[in-house]
Amino acid sequence: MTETKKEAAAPDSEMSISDSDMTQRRWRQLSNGRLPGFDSPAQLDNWFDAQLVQIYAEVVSEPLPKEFLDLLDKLREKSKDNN
Amino acid sequence: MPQSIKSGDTPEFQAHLVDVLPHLSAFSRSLTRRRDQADDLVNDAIVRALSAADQFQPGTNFKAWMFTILRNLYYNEGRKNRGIVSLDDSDTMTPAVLPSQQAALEFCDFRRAFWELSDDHREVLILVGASGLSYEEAAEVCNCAIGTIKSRVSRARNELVRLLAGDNLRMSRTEAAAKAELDAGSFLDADTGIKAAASSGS
Repeated sequence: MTETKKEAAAPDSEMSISDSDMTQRRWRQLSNGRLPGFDSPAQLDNWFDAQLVQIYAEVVSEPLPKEFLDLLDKLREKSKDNN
Repeated sequence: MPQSIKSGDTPEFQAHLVDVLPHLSAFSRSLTRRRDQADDLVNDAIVRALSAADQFQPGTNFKAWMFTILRNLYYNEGRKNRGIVSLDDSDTMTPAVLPSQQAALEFCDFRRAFWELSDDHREVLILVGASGLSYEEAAEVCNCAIGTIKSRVSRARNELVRLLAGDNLRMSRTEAAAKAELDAGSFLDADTGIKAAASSGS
């Protein structure tokens, strides 16, 4: 298995304007939209990150499915047998 | 961080696997959008990792290594096509109760926008914005350059803004609430987006 294989990796080419310009534009768009305004572009990005963490954390906090636990039990038994 | 993994049979390897499993589930869910397919993918990733344990390089990020295995399984073995679902069929991450109605509304909208993003954009936002991987580690997971990851993050955020600011979401809050009630035996309040128990008398 080759987990480190690299694909052709030219950076995506949409960036004719700078990252900070993009962030400024995002900030203005949202500030004019229906979500509450943000005092700065950084605040908007922080808000995005907080929402993403919330989405992620909900799954991380779920109990592990029984099939995973069963699989791990089998591994432990196999490990004992090998020792 | 595992430093001396030699075999998938070792208790050390298994301990690290247990630690990373919840994160693997979250990443898998963000790729497949469906709980059942996500669990299958995680299961197969565990088996693959055990058989390839000697390929893990000590001192590197075990979580990133596991994410790479899972992602390769998803993209290289036909699962991506198998996993294509419309938003109407998806069993996505459902929101918990949030501290305020305004926060709940915002989160409800954000979730709907997030699930309308392309696979590439969802993936990179979860890797960098939520799972705690660095840009460099995310680039390793995705087999691409760091600059590619950065530009994908930027484009994904722009797309989120487009969806949120322009109210371009395909599913309304009401539709999302009705869908959640049918799917999960629970419902999202149409006004708040807050999940509540459906078994309480309804």
